[in-house]
Amino acid sequence: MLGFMCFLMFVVGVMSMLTVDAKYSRKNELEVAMMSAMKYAMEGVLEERIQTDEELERSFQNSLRRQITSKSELSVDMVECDVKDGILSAKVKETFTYPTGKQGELTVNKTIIVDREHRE
Amino acid sequence: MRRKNIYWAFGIVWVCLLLFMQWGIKADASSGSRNEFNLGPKKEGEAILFVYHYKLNDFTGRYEHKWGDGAAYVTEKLSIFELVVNKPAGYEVAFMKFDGVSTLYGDRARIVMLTDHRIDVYMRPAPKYQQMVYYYKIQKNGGRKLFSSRSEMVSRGSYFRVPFITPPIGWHVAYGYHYGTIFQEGYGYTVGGDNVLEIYMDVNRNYVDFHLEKEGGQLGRQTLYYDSEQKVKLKEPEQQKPGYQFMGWKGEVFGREVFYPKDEPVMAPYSDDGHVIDLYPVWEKEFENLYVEYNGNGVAYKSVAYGFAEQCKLAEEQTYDFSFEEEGKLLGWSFWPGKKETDYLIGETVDAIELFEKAKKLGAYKRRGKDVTISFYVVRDNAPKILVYPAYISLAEAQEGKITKEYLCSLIKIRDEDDAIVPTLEGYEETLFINGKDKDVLTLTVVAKDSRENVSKEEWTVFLVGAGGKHGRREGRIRFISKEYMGTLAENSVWRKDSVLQEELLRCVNECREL
Repeated sequence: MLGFMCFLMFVVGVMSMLTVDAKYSRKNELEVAMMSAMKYAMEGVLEERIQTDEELERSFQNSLRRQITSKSELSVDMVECDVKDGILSAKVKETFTYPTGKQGELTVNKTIIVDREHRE
Repeated sequence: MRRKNIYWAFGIVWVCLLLFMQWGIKADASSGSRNEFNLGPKKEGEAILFVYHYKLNDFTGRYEHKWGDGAAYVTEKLSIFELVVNKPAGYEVAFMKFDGVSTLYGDRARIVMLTDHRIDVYMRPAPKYQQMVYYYKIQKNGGRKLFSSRSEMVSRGSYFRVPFITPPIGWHVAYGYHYGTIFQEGYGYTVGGDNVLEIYMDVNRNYVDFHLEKEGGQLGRQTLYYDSEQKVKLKEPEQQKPGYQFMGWKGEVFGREVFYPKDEPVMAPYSDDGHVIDLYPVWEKEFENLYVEYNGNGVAYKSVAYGFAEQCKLAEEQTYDFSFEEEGKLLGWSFWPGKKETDYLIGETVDAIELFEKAKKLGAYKRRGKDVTISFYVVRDNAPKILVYPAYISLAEAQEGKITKEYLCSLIKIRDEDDAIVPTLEGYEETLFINGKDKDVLTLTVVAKDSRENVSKEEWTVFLVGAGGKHGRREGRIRFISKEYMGTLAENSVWRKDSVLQEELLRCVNECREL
């Protein structure tokens, strides 16, 4: 009985570690991918490769989706996307499955701007 | 008056006759003397014969004589003589012979002495009696219960025939049971000791034989046990008739036409055990007209009516206009919406009866009176969806020949629920990239084709961008910002100075923060 309880605790422990690790890894991946995609898109704005808001959004989404390689569903909600003002703000929700079979969800929000001096 | 004369005449004649008989009787001088002739006991078979010659004491006397003696008694004519035999221990009177002719039974005799008479008394050893106990039991629903019982004494050594009881109405005697022997009526045996006999009765059975047709073979048999209180359901035919509905059984029971509707319990008719009733199924057409309704993309088309024995030709792609938003190859028809598997192919010809039977099995039909409508839903293979966004390709990498077809394909995403699609590019030429210049805009066509030949095409714009860019460069510095770092903005930042921008930025960081 004691042996069985120990085994059960061991299994629960391993599953908990896997769950925590999975969440941490995915959050890290999503944040890095999001920052990279936003920066790349905004650099396009600075370099005037991207001229319209739609292009900015597509560039960001295209880049983001290419970087996320783990099996998951991404939902991108654009808070603000303005080439003229130089701002890109997005909320990205990633839905995935834990090793235990449970559904997990992560949300990362980022805002990037082109900061420049104000001239009268 | 005349009758009265007859009575008088009869009385006078009777009196005369008595007087005449008295005249013939003489007083016996040797009255009281004993004329004894003892033949002694002798055997006749198993019986022992004793011959007695009894002598009466008086005219109406009762003479009791002891066993073993022969006796003679003389009395007057017409006197009444009563003989009572004292049986010796272990014996009983088998019978008595009167004057060697008449047989008298019992152990006493009463006679009128008309002349000299001789009475032979035959004795036999008295038998030992055995008790016979009968249990009459009825069997019902697998159980048995006592119906009645009785017992009687039967002499040991005698041959005994077991009596069967008359069973109650609707029952019959099935068999008897006697110490491991199962017997039928007429069973007998020589009694050797106490016996327990069990006689079982069964309720009468009617056998119902089901037939598909009058001349057809037997479908099966059901046993109906006679029970005046309980009704039973008849079985349904295991073999159904396609396109027809089973309504019940018909047949003839004791010369009378009967119809037993489906699901209606019936009472077994009273009959002798083993009576056979032949029943035949009654069928009714399931429908007169069959309609097929084709559904797709929110519209529905109803077909013409097909008769009971007709064939239906299912719709083809061009039969009706469904105007689908999403292109895809029409594969066939399904009884249920949203299915990927077809139940029938487009343009397939199928018997109306077969079509109905299948829909009935799945419960996918609507009935209105004698008309039946079967709904079909289109099954299409979804065309692939192409997801592409304008791509910005480094001019240096393009000129080095690193922008291959495979690389470009890796930037394309295809969605198809049915197949795994690998896209192809039309308009791709390697030289276009190698010889490309800054700000060149290349237009390619992405083609995705699935296993069922559904093809999707999408224009894709690829920009070649030089290093440092000959594009103009806007002024400014890229930075991530959140509410906590709003204070880090420079004093003269447009995001601080411009109230519109400030408000816009504040809204963005606040909205992101809420999550």
